[in-house]
Amino acid sequence: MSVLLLVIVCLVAGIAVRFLRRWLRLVVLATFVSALALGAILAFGSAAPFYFFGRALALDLSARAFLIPALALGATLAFFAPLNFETASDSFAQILVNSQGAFLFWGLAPLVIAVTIDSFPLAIFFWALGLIVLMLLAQPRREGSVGGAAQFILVTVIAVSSLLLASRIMDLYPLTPENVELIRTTVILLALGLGILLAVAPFHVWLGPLADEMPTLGVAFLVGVAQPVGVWLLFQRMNNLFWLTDKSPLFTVLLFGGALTAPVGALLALGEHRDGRLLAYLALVSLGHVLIGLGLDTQLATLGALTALLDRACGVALVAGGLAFVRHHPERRWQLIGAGAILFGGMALAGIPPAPSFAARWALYREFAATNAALLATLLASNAVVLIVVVRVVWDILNAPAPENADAFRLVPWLSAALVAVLVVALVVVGLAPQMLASALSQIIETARYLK
Amino acid sequence: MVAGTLMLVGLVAAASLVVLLADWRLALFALTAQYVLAAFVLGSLLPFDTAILRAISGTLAVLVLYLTARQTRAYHVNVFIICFAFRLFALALVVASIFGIASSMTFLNLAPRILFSGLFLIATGILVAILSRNVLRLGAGILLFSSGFCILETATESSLMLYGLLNIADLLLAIVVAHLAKISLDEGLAQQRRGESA
Repeated sequence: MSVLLLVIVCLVAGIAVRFLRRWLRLVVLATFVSALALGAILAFGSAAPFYFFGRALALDLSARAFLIPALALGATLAFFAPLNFETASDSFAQILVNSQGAFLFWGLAPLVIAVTIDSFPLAIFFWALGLIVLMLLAQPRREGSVGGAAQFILVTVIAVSSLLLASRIMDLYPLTPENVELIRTTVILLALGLGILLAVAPFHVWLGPLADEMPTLGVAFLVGVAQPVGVWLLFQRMNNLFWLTDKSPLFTVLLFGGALTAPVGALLALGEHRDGRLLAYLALVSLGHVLIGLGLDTQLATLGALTALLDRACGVALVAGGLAFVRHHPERRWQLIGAGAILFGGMALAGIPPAPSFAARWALYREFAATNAALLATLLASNAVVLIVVVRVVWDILNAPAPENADAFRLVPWLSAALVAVLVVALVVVGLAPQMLASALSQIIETARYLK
Repeated sequence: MVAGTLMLVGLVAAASLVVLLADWRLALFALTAQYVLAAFVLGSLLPFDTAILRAISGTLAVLVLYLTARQTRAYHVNVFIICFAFRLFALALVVASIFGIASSMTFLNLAPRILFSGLFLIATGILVAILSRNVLRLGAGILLFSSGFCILETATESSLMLYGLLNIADLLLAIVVAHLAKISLDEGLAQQRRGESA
């Protein structure tokens, strides 16, 4: 029942935010209450499965471990959404801007099902559903061209088809183990489907046009909350199908994808000034590290990959929140808070201490530093580029003229600033004592029988 | 056998019209016909009363696109990036390629007719999506793709739940495409107004 409750709370929270969009403080209150309700269900909800059309949806240890940060970050982004508030009007585009939080909650509901359901094809389906619901946030800029959001729907449908076919072949292979062709087909279809949806280079081309049409918080939700569901589903598949890791070149594909994605993301970010694209490309560097960690096939590297995934989500949320401050609140005080959030988020994405991603990357680099110096150098250079880009953005913000602080007390920015502080403190604490996170994640890693 | 061949020819013709016709009303009519014929193809894999669900969900999805097209004046927009002759040429290439693939290879022991239907709709859907410059026509391409995939998926997987969800997904896709078309029109009008006032 806990899963059903989570889904209901997400849907009701979305409806509440949508209807209360004209009253900013009520939106914040609704978001806060919803976040509390989600947290309470995750903390105290029963692990007993809920059955739907014969399928079990269970809030077991691994699902809970994934959903706690995912829902927390989803709610955090929904908290930042009121920062983008514009004067209430009945314009369709402005209604969308003022009710961004609603779409984020609605996007969470199918993702909860994807993580908890016991069927891989249905999980894929609900993952895609979450991505498509998120496209309701998009705002195409020009009439007469299809735009990035519409293209994303097409690539999502292609990717999901590919993954569903891969799933069918995965079911068939154990019945005809002599047919090794099926293994190759499975890996090709998995690489195509996940490569497209995770925006792994060279399948990342949809990311820029989509980021142009999505609000920054939407991009952050996509790369920080929705994409990790794909990594999670892959991890679960690798746990369940021993032959997939033992007999196929999946690890090589992951390593190659990661080694290509990190520098491509860094290079694209280097020349980028548009907020959405910048955020999306910065996140590619961390994604590259995650894929390499999974591809290294050791407990330590997988631990590093999962930590990097979590850190990536926090970093992306901080950068998106910081950009919301900077672009919508011109007073000096909010500019400084925004710049600080972007700097800390960027440090998390670049793997700079005290962010936990430093420990995660250290764990990864140790695994291959002695054998692959070129890859190590490429990844270090990518991290350096991320840091340079972030410092450049922060420098521009600090040097831009800003009006002096007004005396009037504004509740919403202050609450968002408090949330930024909480995120930064959490990152610093976990970064200084990464063993806290590692011990929690190691329970999940231990279930992965395929790891060396 | 004859009925099956006629159905296949009808399916190919209906999907081809979505690529070839620029007129949005005729294209949506062809898309509806494609859904009905796809339901008949699925009838050889599923009980008929289950297969007909495809035609119902498809018709509803087309209805969503039709209402949006009326609202957004889609008929004023040049929907394709290339002219009719090039579209015809591209379609001929697709037909030849898919015919070659379906007649020379097997995939999960599917019957050649099923494999051809599924692959042809998938390829046509991608072709429409690549060639269109209009969101609604791209939506029609996505629905063609999903229709082809539904045939392949139903032929390989016996899950009725997945079949039902694929039908629901078509409706959701149509709604999201309609939403994007409406938003892009609003943005276009707003830009025009800003240009006029400036």
